[in-house]
Amino acid sequence: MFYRPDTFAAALRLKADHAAAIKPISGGTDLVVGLNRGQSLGVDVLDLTAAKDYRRIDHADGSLILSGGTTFAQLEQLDIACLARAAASVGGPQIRNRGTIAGNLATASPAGDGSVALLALDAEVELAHADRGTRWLRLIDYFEDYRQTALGDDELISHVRIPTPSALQASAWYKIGKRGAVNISLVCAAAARFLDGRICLAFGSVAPIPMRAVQTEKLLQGQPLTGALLHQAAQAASAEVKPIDDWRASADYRKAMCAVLARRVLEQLQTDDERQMP
Amino acid sequence: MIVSRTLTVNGQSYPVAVAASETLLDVLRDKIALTGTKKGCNVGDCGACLVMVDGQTMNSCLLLATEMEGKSITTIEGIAQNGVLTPLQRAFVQEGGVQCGYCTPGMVLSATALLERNSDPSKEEIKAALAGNLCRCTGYTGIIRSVERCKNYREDGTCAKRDEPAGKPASGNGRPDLGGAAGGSVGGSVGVSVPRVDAVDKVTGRAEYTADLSFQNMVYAKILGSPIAHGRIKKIDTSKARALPGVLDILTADDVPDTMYGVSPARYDEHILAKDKVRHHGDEVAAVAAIDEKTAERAVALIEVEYEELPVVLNPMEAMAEGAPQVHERYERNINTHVDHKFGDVEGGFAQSAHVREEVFTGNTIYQCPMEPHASIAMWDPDGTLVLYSSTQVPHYVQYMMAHVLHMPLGKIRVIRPTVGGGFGGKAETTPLDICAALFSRRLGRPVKMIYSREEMFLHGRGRHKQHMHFKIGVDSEGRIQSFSSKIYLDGGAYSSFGVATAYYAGSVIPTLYKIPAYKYDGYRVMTNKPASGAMRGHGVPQPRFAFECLLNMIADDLGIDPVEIRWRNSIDPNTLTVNEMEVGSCEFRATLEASAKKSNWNEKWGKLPLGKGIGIASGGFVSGAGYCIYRGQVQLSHEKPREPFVKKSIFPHANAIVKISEDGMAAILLIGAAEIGQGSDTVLTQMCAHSLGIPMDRMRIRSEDSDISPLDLGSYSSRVTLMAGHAVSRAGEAVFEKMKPYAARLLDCDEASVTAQNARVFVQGDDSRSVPWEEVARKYFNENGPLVGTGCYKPPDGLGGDYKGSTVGTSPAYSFGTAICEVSVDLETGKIKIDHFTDYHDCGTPINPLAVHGQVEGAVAMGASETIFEDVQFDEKGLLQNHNLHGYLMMSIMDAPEIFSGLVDSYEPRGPFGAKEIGEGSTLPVLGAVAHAIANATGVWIKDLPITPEKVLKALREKKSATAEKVASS
Ligand SMILES: Cc1cc2nc3c(=O)[nH]c(=O)nc-3n(C[C@H](O)[C@H](O)[C@H](O)COP(=O)(O)OP(=O)(O)OC[C@H]3O[C@@H](n4cnc5c(N)ncnc54)[C@H](O)[C@@H]3O)c2cc1C
Ligand code: FES
Ligand code: FES
Repeated sequence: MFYRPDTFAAALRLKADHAAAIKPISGGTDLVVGLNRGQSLGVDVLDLTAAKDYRRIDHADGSLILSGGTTFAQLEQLDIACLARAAASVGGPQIRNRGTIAGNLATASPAGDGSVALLALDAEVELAHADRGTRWLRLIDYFEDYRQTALGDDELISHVRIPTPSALQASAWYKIGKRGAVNISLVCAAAARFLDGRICLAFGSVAPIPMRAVQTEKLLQGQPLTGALLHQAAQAASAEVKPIDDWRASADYRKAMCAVLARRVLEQLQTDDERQMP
Repeated sequence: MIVSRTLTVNGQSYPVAVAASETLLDVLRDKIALTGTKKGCNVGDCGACLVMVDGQTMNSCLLLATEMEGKSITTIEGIAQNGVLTPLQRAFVQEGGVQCGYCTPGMVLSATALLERNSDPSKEEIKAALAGNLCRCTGYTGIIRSVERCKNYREDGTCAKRDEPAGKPASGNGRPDLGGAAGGSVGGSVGVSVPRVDAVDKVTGRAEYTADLSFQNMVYAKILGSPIAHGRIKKIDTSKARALPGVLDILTADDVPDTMYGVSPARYDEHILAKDKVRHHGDEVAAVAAIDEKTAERAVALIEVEYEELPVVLNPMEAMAEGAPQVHERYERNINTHVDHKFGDVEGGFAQSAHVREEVFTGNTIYQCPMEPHASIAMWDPDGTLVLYSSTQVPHYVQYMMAHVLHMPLGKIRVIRPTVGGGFGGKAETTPLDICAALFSRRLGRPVKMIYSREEMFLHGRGRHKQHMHFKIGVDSEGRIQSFSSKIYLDGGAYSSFGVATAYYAGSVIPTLYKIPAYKYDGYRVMTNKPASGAMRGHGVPQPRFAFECLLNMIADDLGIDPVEIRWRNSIDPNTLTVNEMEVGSCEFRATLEASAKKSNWNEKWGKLPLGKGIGIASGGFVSGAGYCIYRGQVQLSHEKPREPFVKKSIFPHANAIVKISEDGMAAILLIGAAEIGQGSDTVLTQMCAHSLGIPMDRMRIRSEDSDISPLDLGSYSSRVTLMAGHAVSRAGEAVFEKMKPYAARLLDCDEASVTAQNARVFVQGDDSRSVPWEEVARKYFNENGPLVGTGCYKPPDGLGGDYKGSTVGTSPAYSFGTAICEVSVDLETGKIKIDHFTDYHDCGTPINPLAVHGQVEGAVAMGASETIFEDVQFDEKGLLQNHNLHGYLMMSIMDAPEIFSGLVDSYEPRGPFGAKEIGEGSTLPVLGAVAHAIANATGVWIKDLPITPEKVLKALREKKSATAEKVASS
């Protein structure tokens, strides 16, 4: 079967009723790749693209609320540097016109650029069930293991909340890929500084999940970002990540790059006008 | 489950029945017959399938057709309205935005979407908008030019004018007059940047590639590849596959002719389907024909094969070791070809050298990756003629090899080459698709279509040999080369393919650039458990050329000589017989050095750039067509040919053309089997033929696709077409005009010798007031004699090459020369390399079509730069490919492409038609070395193994730092 509900509520109902026997498709940029590679769906399809309320960006209570179906192309337009730039670094324009934030979070690839940026923003994801209602989870608690998340079989990702866009002072993004476009992250880093002085730092492609560098963050809390501290943080980040060797890059290179990227994103935070970042 | 949907495509409604998992791409192509939307990867990586959905660009291979109801879909066919091209399409035609055309529909749509929201985009915005569309041919340069030309086009309906094209056509300077027929005066269509003859078809989606064709009652087939790299086949059970509804036929080794085939006649070592053993990941084991492609794919997965796994060998040095696993019984120590060449006093040369330097360089495994996947469609005529549509660059060799495997006369095989979406050497062989499609079609009595997926293309292989190169150069105190020795191990993969020639080429073309008085080359092509290596752009030479140019630059550094200067001092003179007996004729190598150094401001930059910025130089050149045919003897079924001793001359003409004039004299049809694969041969051949006929291009049509219509041409390899086919077509044109002369003389009342023609006027030389329309003369001829037809052919000169073994490889009527200067930026913390700029000058003789020449250079620069820093087919320890797709195997995107200045030096090759030589492959050769040199210059460290990745740069920097630290500590 191919379901194409025109509201998200109807989609939730279907998902709750069919659980694992129905597979949501949001932008299809992960799912259809799998299909074309010969993975059979094996289950029914729940097409979310026709749900009217699935592609919105709202402001509420000082938070920014993104519907799950927000595309990278929409995210690119946001005023939050690290998320906008992360989104702009995904695939090519035609992937960004299609790929969504819910898909990125559900796929939970360690190299998910959107996921890494949202992690650094200390965002929350809303997991929704037709009957049980919704639950909000901080992303740091959402990613569990390699491509495993807290998302239940009978749930859908409905929203992502960036809790404090007004409390956000600055954010930064840096991605190293092998080439200039359509490019999986070899390593990517995102950082955010909030008005209360808190700094969050996240990395992609250096652990089984998109990871927050919590140890390094501790070093940084409440401290002025001096050269010495940046150096120390860079070393800490490099020590904290757990990359593997693969044919794309060695673990050593990735570790070394975490140090460089940590410093670069933290330096970027220093600058007031985020939009002038390279 | 099948559902019905109504799709709105280009404003028209199409009710279709689609399966839940069917993509929009497949529905457009198969159910709505809009084949302008291409399939390059089927997983979102290439953008060939791009369409607009409600004005937004999307890859149709990632869209499920079921979701598309109610959306407005625009494909390439919907861009031109009522047959009128948009200004953007016109710009693509005029600016060289199109070569093979396979990426073009996606490019045009992406650019259209951009211009619709931003009518005045900056270059950066153009790049960003096209970042998801890959092109293998143009280096993106012509594409960017095309879009830039269209800035503001919507305001007044016209395009902004752009500057003069980069690099002007060569002119004057001692060159014989290039006039029209019978040596007329100026003008004509040679030396002019006319747009490609197929460009309009390609920008509108009308061009039909093999996979776009369908025939009544056609079925599909797929091949099962080996999941392991080396093993014995114990058992094949096809029963489950056979039981799948829709399956029509299955082939295994038992069902196909037990004939070995390949490329080099001395080494036919491929079975049609693996017999007893598989030798690489993807080695073709069995094939299934079914009513549709999906069923064939499913059935292939149901074939059960039991293997006994064997140990693998993955590099040539290991493979040559005693006791290493044997890939084939027949190649002792896995050595497929050994070259042992020595010319001059090599030891003496080193002994008298003031400086000798020796280094080891390693190449990478490069795949051509044309954007169009290989495809074949076979059917049999009732009279027993095989009709084979094949996406090939060598239709004649396909015909020859099909005759060989099917034991049929060549005359009973008709090969048709539809539009081809790039080759670069990857389509220079008969494929299992050609053979299996023909066999299935004979058994089923139906047309059979077969297409490789992107993954299968990599598994079939035939890319560039990875070479392990030990090079040693000795020079005098002034940097003049005294002696050179090289030892090369070529990673051959599992089959011979072109490899015998590759092993010779790796040595033979090196001495065509510099004066090398003594030369030793020891080459081993070795079998390994990898997909077969073959011939790729620059066949065998780019990696040794990279090594040689790097070593020469190192030596220049050692001696404190400027790298431009050391090349100048060693550069070869025109009309030189090299130490290995290659006949170099015209040679403007020094002019390329001088011009590129000047244009790039070399003197202001060399040695003066800050750390992290670098400039580098390398040179290169190539043959303008191989001196000899790949097979020996005449055109005849190989099994019937008596074994004759080799003679140093061509047995038959390598290029042949017929020109047929329409009865009213208003059109000339050029028939030649030269393979247009995107490089532009149809265009330059039409130009040359029109020129010698004395008529404008728009009176000409070319038919090059069908062996039933066009006479033999050996095809597009070894950069042979412009020179060889060019001679054939201009001679055919001249032959026509010769026949017209008596009639013209009568009409003009003059003698035959003073008749000439240009621009469709026939006139008395020196008095163009006495003229008649060209067509009138042609009609007069027809009235008296019937068809006005002329033929022309070309044989390479007799006696090319020395008298030693392998002396034929590298021979050519003429050689090209070129120099590239590359500028890079390197991020010293991450190692990331940005190739900023290229300044290229080439000696290609007379450029028949400067726009096409620059297009070849731009494409070669991007491809060469991409292989220097990005590309490498990766294997795991069991020999399984790791990155056989377009997101793992990275070729340059538009965001990575350098700015390219391409210039030409004045040159004339007496052996070429109108003085022309090659450009397509020679332009690749300087690129790798120039990039490597620029990186070394930017970082202070040489990376000697390709590709030069950020990781290698950082490692070398770290090692240098600790070595310096040690030195400091110990001193
Ligand atoms: C060429 C190419 C380039 C790419 N480049 C990048 C890149 O640079 N960076 C990057 O991070 N990613 C990249 N991707 C991966 C992909 O685009 C992203 O992961 C994207 O975010 C997936 O979103 P989607 O909406 O397309 O997901 P879909 O394919 O629709 O879905 C992905 C998965 O999520 C599930 N799902 C979707 N929506 C929901 C929901 N609301 N609730 C619960 N489950 C849901 C689906 O069932 C499926 O399992 C690339 C992909 C391609 C094809
Ligand atoms: S075929 Fe769709 S992106 Fe390549
Ligand atoms: S023209 Fe772009 S792929 Fe050939």
